[in-house]
Amino acid sequence: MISRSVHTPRKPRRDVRAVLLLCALAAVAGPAPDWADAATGPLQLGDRETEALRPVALPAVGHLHPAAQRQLGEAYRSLLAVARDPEAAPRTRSEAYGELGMLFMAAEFLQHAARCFRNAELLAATEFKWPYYLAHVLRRSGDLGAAAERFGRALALRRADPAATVWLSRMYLELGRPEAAEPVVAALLARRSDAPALRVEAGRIALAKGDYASAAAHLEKALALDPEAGSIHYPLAMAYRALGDPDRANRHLRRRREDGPGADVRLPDPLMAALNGMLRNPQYYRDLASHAASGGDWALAAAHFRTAAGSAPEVAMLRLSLGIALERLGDVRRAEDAFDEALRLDPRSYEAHYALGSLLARSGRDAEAIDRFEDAVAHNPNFAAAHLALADARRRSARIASSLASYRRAIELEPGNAAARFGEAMALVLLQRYGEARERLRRAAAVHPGRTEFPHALARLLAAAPDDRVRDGAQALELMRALVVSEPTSAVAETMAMTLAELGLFGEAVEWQRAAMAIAARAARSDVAQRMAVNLQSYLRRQPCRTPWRDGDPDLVPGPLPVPGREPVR
Amino acid sequence: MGRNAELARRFGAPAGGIPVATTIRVCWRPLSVEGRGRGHDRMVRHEAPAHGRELSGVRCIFHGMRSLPPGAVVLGIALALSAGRTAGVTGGSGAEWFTDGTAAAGIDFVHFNGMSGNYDFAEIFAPGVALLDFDNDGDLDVYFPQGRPLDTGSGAEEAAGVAEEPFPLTDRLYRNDLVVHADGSRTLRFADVTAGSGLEAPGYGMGAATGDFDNDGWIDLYLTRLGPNRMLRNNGDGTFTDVSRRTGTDHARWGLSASFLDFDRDGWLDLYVGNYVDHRPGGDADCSTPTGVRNYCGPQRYLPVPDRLYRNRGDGTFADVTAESQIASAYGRALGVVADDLNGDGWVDVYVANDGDDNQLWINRRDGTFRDEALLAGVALNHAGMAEAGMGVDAGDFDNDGDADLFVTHLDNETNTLYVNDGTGRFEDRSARARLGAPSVPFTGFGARWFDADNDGWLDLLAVNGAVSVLQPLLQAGDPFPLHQRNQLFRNVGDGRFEDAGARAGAALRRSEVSRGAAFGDLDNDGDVDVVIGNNNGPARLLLNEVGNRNHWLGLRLVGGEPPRDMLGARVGVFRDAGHPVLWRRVGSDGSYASASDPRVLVGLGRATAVQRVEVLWPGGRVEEWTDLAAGRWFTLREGTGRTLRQADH
Repeated sequence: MISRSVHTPRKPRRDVRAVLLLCALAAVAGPAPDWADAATGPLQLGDRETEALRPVALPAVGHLHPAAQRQLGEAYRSLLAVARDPEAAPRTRSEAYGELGMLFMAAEFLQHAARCFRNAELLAATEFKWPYYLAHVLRRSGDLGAAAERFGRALALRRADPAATVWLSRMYLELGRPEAAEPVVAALLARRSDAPALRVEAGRIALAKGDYASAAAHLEKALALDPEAGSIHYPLAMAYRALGDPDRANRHLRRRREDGPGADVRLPDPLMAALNGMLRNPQYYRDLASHAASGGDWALAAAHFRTAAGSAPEVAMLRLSLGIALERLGDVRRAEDAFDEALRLDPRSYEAHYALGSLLARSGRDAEAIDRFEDAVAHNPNFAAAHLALADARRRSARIASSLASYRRAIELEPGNAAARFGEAMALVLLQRYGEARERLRRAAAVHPGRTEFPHALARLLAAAPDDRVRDGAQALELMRALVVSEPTSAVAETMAMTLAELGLFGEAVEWQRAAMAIAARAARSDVAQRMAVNLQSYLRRQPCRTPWRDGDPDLVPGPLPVPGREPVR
Repeated sequence: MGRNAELARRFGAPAGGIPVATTIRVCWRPLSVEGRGRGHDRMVRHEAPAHGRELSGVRCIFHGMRSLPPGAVVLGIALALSAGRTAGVTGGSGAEWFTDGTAAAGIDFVHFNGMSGNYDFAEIFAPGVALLDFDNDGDLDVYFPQGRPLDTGSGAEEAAGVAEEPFPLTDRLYRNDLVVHADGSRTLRFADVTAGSGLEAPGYGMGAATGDFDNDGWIDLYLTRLGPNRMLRNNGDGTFTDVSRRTGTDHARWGLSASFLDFDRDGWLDLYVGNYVDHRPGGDADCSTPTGVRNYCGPQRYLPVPDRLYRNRGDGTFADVTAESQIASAYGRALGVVADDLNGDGWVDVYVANDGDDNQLWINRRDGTFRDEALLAGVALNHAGMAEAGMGVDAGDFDNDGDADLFVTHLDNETNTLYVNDGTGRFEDRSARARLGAPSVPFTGFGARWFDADNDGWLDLLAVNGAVSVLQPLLQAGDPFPLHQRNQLFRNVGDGRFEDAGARAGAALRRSEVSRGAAFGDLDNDGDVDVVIGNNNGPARLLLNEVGNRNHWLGLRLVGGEPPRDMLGARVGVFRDAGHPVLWRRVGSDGSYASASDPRVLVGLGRATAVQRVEVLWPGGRVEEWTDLAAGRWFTLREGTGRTLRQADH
């Protein structure tokens, strides 16, 4: 088996010849892999305890992106140059191996990276970074025992390194050895008590050992040190759960539920961060852009998506992602251009149709938006968000009957979609099908017991629907008694007034209507308060309300989504 | 054994009759043929002797990795190239726990994933497997879902005709024609009875669930598909009728795992369907590796869609109660589903493993609604608080303490997870302590199930593996389908820990393939659990258990109703001699990944030769016991015929 390979010589002259010979052979025979079984099991380093350097091959790279090919080729040539130089110091050779290893690692050539790092380590035995990188390579390839051994070796060279400490601890924990992890973390924690990552690690170790009080203490401190690290809430909740403190456990679980996974705890790791920028190709910029977008830096995301799109001009998804980033930046014109370009590249892209439709809707161009949404659902009939957006746009455009069909399709696809259920009910109201609207709202209230918009809207219908068969003041009052406590808004107060008026309690209705107007005025919505005066006059005349929603009420005329919704950004 | 001879031996071709160089069959249909676009007009057919349906070991070459032009529709079919991926599949030497009985038993199913070189996300998730006794003759038959060309927008539909030779692209049903000889020895043979069975379901098959939804005594099939799922009613005469629309269970989402369960205890099986993501074939973005090599996208690229819960009305139809039951209030990208009483209150709950999202634990509130308690229960995330890529799942009492523990398979560079139940529905991630975490790091696990491989009384684990994004070393090696990995058997050593039993499991189990579904059951009724594995774009495997007969066992089929049906959701406790823990097992065909297993319960007794009594908790709440059950035999326990210990507590 012949591979394009190089190893650093003990006797430079002879080994340079060997290198040249190997290169010549490789040029004739082409690369041949010798690690075919590596993917089916943990990476094998071979005789890793022997002192000899191991040959390093340049893998077949012809199928890689040209930029990656170029980079790997250049790094390999650099290594060759150093290897050919009999005067090169061991540390220089070590750096050459190590830098190529980093590139291999970034490119996921783990076997090659391991060999490079191992050689680099042998040539510079006191250098921290090579065993550290090697440990990560071993970790990625699944050999956690070997990874732990290498992290330990790295830590011996730099005892106060937080990243090596944490990673070594993690390896021990995955290997089921918390007792081995404990002293490693404790030693550094004694010197760096303000390091949140170390605190978290100590907490995890304590959890694994069943020492829940200690776990809770460490994790609470970590959360205090790094309040943005949402990932702490869950293990902390588990610690409190085990301690028999469900209140605290639920408090942290609620945070986890409401805030989502949250950020991981800060762990400064400059060596691993250095790998991120090594490979320059569209995927690299795409990853950078996605990372920036997930962090909310849309300007940076747009810049990286633009670079990626420039180097892969045929990829519609990159244009789509660029458009989303640009729209979030407020650059609507360029965003629209990007969406148009995405659709030119891939006319079947339902996501691009949807994104462009959403932009148009937000720009008040509902007629065009409807076309885009219709195309989106034509290309993907299961695209619930597009059905909902289409329904809303149609409702805004007074195409109520067709909006109803779209709402129903959205509900069919996503039975838990509250917005679609509300929209369906409001479309029925607009169609003056009050009885059906009432039943839909009742069902929606049962499906979404935690949401108030359904009982509120139901109460309005029961209090003020023009259809005599639909109204039921007593039921409305029952619903409103709970709502006025939980939702003291002007709209709720106004619904209470409608309800009381329906029950013939006009004096109370006047009071509630005045209260509603006062709340609106306090919120600087004198326009709303003014419109409410019509109902007030009715109640003063002892006339009930028969218009549950006024024309233009936001419940009846939904606005477009204020920001791009759940489109995936890559 | 040489490569050619090995291929020939494995696939039933004449020894030495298939030169490897001529076995590759590449069918490359041009877009331009249909006037739909540009492409290459090339077709290479293999020149090997035609073996008709016996030419079973076919699979697709993984084109598009290197040189195929974008948009070209490529359907590659070639003889399986996996011969070099294993240490050699030899017959049962006695030392190996499992041997490959696929060819000998007549299973010749080969999955076709429909790849066109466009890296369609959907092509790497099937197939599941179902074991079901569809003809009520007392042995397990086998069903496999089949794929089809996926890139419908670029002409692959037309190309399907090419791929239909030499075997049709249809789901397959194999009837078990087990022969038990006078001396007790057995010959396991399967016959392909697909033709005329009604299993020619349209669409792209993913997996299956089994259960007698209409209580007629004949087990029915629910097929998860890429697109509308299918409910197939067993007519009792060897045929099935598609009643998807009539039953109202044909929603058009991408389903994978499903479970029949009686969540409202009304005696009719309801149906939970796990749905994955909103994906349209042919609409993929091109994703790539860090080096710019084309790759499959990850699941985060696609939006999750809600699961479905259907309540059986008892009249042959189902009501979609997804919204009313609160199941729609939380959802992720569901891949694995298992139903069991996880909090010990006697009512069946549902656990859903999601791909990259929080898992759900739907606790049955006994009023037709469920509440997701996964976070507080400790089964939503791993020990570090991270959502992992949940794939397959199963529930079982691995530590013999009387409650159901959960096992979930995950992506490589994550660990498979063991959630240990404290008896109240609170779980703890003990993957590392149990030695199940670290060994799984290099592998992407799919199908998995608790089963007592060696009948020693402790539930073991089999995880079948196969990556979902290209493996760089295999790609470098020029592997045409660089996703394959070996499977893993973990033996329960009885102290809360497991050991990797790969070395003794046998070469058949270590074979490196792109495994997805796995179904478990005693196919030859000899008292040990065999396994059928569905491999993506490759031949199915039947692994025969060669170790279980070294210990004692008790086989139980738990039925109820008239005519009798398997009582999914029942729990059975087997009481042995003093000093041996009670063995609690569940009756369920669900779990694993997109697959349905033997609903019967096979209990390994270890060295215990006697069973004092058997206690059954029926799904309706009644508790009964049986005594005088001899080891080493299969029994059918019928609800209402044992000694009642407690009446139903509705």
